[in-house]
Amino acid sequence: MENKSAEHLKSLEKLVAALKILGYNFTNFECSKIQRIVFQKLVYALQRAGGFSLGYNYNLYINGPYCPSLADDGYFITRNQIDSDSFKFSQTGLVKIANAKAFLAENTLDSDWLETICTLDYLYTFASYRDDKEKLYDKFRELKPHLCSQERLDRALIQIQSLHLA
Amino acid sequence: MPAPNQFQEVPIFDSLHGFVRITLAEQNIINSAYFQRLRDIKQLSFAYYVFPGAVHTRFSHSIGVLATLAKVLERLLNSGAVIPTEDVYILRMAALLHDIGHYPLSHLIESSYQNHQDKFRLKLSAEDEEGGTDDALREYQERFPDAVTHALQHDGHHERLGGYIIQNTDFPGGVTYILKKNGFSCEVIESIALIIQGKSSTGWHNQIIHSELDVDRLDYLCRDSHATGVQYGNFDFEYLLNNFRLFKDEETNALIFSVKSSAVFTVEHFLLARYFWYAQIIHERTISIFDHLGTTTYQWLIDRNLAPEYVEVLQMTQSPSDFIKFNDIFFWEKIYQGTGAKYPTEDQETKNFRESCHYLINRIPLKRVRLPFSKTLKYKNYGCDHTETCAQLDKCHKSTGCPKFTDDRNVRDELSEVSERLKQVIIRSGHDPSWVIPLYKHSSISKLSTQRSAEEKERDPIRIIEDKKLAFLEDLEHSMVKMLNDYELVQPRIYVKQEYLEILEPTISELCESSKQEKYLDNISTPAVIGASTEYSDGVADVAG
Repeated sequence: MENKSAEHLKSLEKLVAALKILGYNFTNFECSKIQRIVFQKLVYALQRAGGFSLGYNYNLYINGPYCPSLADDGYFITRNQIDSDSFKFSQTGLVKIANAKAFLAENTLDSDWLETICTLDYLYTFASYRDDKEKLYDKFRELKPHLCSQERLDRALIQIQSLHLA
Repeated sequence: MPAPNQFQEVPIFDSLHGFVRITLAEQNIINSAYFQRLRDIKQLSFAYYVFPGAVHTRFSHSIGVLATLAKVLERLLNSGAVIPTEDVYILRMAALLHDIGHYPLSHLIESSYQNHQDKFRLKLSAEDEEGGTDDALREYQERFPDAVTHALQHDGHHERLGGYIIQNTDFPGGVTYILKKNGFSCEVIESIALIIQGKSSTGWHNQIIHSELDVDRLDYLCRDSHATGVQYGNFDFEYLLNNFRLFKDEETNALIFSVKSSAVFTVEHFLLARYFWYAQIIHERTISIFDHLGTTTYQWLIDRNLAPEYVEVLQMTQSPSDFIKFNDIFFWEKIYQGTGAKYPTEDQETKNFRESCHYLINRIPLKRVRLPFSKTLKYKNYGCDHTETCAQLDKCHKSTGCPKFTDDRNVRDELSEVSERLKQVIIRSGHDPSWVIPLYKHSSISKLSTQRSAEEKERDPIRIIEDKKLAFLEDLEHSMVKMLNDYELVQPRIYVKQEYLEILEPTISELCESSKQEKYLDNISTPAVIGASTEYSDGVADVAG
C-alpha cells in the first residue's frame, strides 16, 4: 500500500463514509468516467455546502470543478478497498451531510445535474460572476455547451443562492 | 519628500543584473522585517551540501525578479505596448513580494506544513465523529480568531501565506500598512496578492509573474546556475527578452504576454534548461535525501507541537519582530536542540528524530541502494480524469505493438514493492525499517494541456506570435517540446543507513539478477525497446561536494 499517513487514511475513511450516506459507492470507479465525475462533485458539495474541511482545492477543468489530489485519493480508495465501517458520524457530521444533500436538491447521482450545479457554484463563488446572472449563464454556456438546459440552470441557481443566504 | 513611485538615488547592486533601481515604496518594503527575513532563507535548501556556492537567498532572488520584470516591461514599452503607469508599479511590487511568504529552507519546510494539514484538519473536525467534540475547534478559534478559517481552507502553500501577509498586516511595520502609506489602495493591494498566486483578473499580469515563462523562472534559472557554477540553467536571456511582446486579442481586447516566433528555439531551450536543471540539480541524489530528512524531521516537530502549526505561523505574521525570526536559523535552532533536548517520550520515533538531526548537522547522507531499475522516461498517461484523450492514446499506442508502450510496469509500484521487501529483510534482522526510505522524483518539460485547469490554460501556456496570430508553443508542428512533453523522467531511489547495506546485499543482488534475466528474456522475444534504460544505478558512491 502506498504510504499514507494515519491521519490521511482516517480522512479517507470519513470521506468514504460520507459518500456512502449520499448513495455513492466505488464499484465502477476505475472503469467509469461518469462515476469519477460524480465522485468529484459530491466531495465538492460536502466541502462547499456541508462545511467539511477535507483539504481538497478545486479548479475548473473540462468536466467542472476538479481536484487532482482527490482523483489520486479516489484511485487509492478503490485499489486499497478503504471501507467506511470504522467511521461513525456524530449528529453534527450527519447534519453536514444533510446540508450537502439539500444543496444538491437530494439528487446525488445524476452526473449532468452535479456538473451543472457545481460548475455554476464555482463560477458564482470563485470566479466573480455573482453579480450578473446573464454573464454567469453566458460563461457557463461557453464552458458547458452540452449542459445548457435553462430549467436546470435556473434550478441550480436557486440552490446556490439559498446556500449563500444561509 | 520623494513620491512613493519616484526612483531612489541609490540603487541596489545585484550580482546578476547589476544596478537595480528601486522606488521609495519598494525601498520601504525592502526595509521591512517581512522582506529582511528573506536574507536568511536559502533559495535552494540543502543544495549547498553538494554545491557549496548555492547559498544565495530568497532576498537576492526577489530583487532579481524585480530587476527582470523591469527589463521585460521596458522591452514591452519600447516595442509599442501601452501599459498604464499604475500597472507598472503594481507588477513591480508583485515581483518584489512574490516570495514574501516563503518558509525556512524554502519548499522543504513548506512540504512539512502541507503534510501536517491532514492532522490539523482532523483535530479541528473531531466533532464530525461520534464521541468527538468541538473543543479543539473552539480552543483554536479563541487563540487564533483571525487565522483559523484561512488555515482550514488552505494547504499552507507559500503563495497563500504571501497573499495573507500582503493583505493582513495593516499595522506599523506591516506590509499592508507600508503599501497603504505609499499610496497603494486596498483594491490594488488585493490585486498584488492575487497576482503572486496567479489569480489576477488581468490575464497578462498572471502570465508575466506566474506562468511557464515568467520573470520568476527567468531569474532563478540564471541565478541558481550562477551560484552553483553548473551550466544547465543557462539560456539566451537577452534574445528572449528582445522578443517579448504584448499581443492584443482583437476580439476581447485582452493583452496577452507572448513571444515572437523568431525566438521559438530560445523558448524551447529555456524549457529544456529548466527540465535539465530539475533533473540534474534539484533532484540530485544527495540533495534529495537531505531535503527529505529536513522535511520529515521538521514535520516530526510540528506533529508534537514543538514547532508552530500553520495557524500559528499565520498568527506570527501579526508581529514583525516574531515573524522575522521564522527563517533558516529558526529551523537550525530546532535541529541543534533536537540532538540534546529531553522530549516527553523517548520512543523509537524520538530516537530516529535525534538521529536525523545528527545526519543533517554533520552532513551524513544515507546511502543509495542499487536497484533492479533505474531512472527512465515514462509516457505521461497516468489516469488524468479530465479527458478521455489519454485513454484513447494509450489504446492506440498499445495496438501498434511497440514494447515501450505495452510495458505495464508502474515504476512507483515497483519502487514500493522493492522497498517493502527490503524493509522485511531489515525487520527480520532486528533493525528499524524506517531507515529504508524510497524516494520517487519526476520531472518533465511542462504540463500536458489536458492536465491544466481552465485557469491554468488561460495563464500558463507559452504563446508564440506567428503571422500576426497567436499559437500555443505546444501546438506548433515544428515544436520539439511538443514531442518531448509526452514523457516525464522518473528517478526512483531507495536510501538506507550505511550499516544496512551489508544486510541487504544478498536480497539486492538477487533482485538485480532476476531483473537482468527478465530483461534478457524480453529482449530476445520482442523488438528492441525504444529508449529503455538498461543501466543500473552505481550503488553507494556519494557525490563529491
